[in-house]
Amino acid sequence: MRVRLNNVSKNFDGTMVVKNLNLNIEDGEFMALLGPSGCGKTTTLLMIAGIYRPSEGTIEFDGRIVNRVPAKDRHLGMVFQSYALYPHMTVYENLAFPLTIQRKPKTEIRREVIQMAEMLGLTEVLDRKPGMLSGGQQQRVALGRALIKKPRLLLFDEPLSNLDARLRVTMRAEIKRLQKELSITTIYVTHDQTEALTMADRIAVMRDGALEAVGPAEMLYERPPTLFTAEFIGHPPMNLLDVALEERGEEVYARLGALLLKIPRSRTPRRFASRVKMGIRPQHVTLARQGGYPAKVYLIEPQGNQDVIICDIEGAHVSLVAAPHHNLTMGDMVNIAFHMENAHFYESDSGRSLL
Amino acid sequence: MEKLSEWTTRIALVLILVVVTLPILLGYAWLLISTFSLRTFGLMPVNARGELGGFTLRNWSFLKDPLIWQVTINTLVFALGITVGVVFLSALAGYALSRMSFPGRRFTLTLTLLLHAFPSITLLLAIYFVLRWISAVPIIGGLLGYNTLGGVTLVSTAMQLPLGIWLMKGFFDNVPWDMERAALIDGCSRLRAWWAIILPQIRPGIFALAIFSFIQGWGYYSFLIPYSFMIDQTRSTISTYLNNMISTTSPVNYGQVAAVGLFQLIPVLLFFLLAQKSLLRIFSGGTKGAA
Repeated sequence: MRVRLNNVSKNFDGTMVVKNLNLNIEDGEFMALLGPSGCGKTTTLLMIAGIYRPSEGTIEFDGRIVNRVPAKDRHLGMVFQSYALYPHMTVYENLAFPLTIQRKPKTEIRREVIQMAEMLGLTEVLDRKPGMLSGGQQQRVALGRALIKKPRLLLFDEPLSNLDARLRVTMRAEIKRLQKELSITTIYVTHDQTEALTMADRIAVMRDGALEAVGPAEMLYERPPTLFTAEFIGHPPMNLLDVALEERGEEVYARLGALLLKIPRSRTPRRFASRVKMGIRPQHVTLARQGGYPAKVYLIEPQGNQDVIICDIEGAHVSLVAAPHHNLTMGDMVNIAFHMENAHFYESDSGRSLL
Repeated sequence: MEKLSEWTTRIALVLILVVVTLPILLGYAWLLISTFSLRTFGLMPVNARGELGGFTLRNWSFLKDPLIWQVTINTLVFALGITVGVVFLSALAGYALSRMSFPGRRFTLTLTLLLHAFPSITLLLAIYFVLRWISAVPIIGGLLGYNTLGGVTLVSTAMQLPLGIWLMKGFFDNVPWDMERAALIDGCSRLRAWWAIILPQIRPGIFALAIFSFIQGWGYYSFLIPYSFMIDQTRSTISTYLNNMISTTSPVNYGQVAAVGLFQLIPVLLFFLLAQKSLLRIFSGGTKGAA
């Protein structure tokens, strides 16, 4: 099912929670709504679900405006962060509930539930109440309950945030595989960029109720269109440094304190702004044997496969990723090199990309 | 040394509890003993000469009177009527006040609380006129008007509603929103979600309210309204029946009064024995097992 949001806004008692949202979700697409808590992503999801009605704008399913269609008639399934299982029903009854409401014949319900339980590995626990299940099993029941009525649209509201780290990785893969197999249009709300990056076809980054950027993971990672996106996506977070742009003859430089960093042609800002932030990912700053610029090691964060080293340079903190076993300690002097072919430039005030 | 002080604290605690509970226990003991005695001297049943003895079943002879059974059925209908009415209306109103936004919601909430604090005796005169007026309406008047069991049930239900609504609202407030949203998305209407998903979560609360309402209807607390608005003896409830026994001009047979009182107590005791578990569970919250 194609989902389209046209200028959708929502205000609660005068507070604008979602502002003028425009978003297209293609049939079979996996779209992640990514943003910090309180950015309006769950409100947006609940509007699509039919729980909230938009204050302004329209929501279309396959070209039909559904603003006034109640949730029960929207043919969708939803998985909640709290799972929202019905505690007074067994797993079997939970899974059967959407079909019972549809007054499907008992034998058909039985077949569907057993099939779903097999697919999700819940056959053993069908007679148990949700309170007796582990977090992962509850999550699977919630998923099964959303899938069993063969919805045309699947909604997820931070479904993995109550699971422990290992289970989260497993479930992430499982949900993605299921979504691809069933090719149901999916909207997935999360504040975890890893989930969004690994699972979604496209990511919509939201901030303060407004859409900040939309695009596939690689696009948002490699060319974040706004300062906020640059900051929010990628781990460790991108370095953002206040610089001044200087033109010297044919060449353009970024001035960081006393340092002059040459900007390659491919990365030269389209226009100059008075206050500019240069963004460069920690992966694109390296320890240099020769050349580079002197910096002082401020902090070392080992991460097993790599170490994040935060350096003091020209009054700014720059983090870089280095292989372990570097024998550095806090306070050491190092030389670091900026790989300027990967630098980004943003106007500080508007946050817009200058590339 | 430590063990000793622990023991003294424990003994002191038990002593305090015994002292506090004793008057109540003595009261019940007297009630039980006097129903089977001609008269009592303290807790001791005595005969005419003041010696131990004088056991009798005479006090229970009222059970042979058909009127008591009529009165018992009246009381049962009355109490069950209040229970069903209060639970049903409170569950609906409490849900609306907890979950829906509508103009006047805050005002209704405040008004409900205010009504709860309002002394109902002051309304007796007004209620009298209302019931008289209902009596004048054909058909309905015979069921819900003045001097009918229906009318008295209606008024008593109304008196109980503010408390019931507040209680129910509190329970509904504790049911997670997500569960209701899930029900709506799974295909329920609002009413169906209320009935199939939300109500089962607050079952202990409903149980508690039902018990309180029943006891209110059955016991002496609801005496005032049946007493004021039902003049026929055959339509009276146990509490008014008891009152008649005390207030007649002939000497009061306290043994018999005690027997009727005990008779009235039996269903309540049974109720409590059966419902003890659910009553205690109220305090552990209504959403057990919810993740």
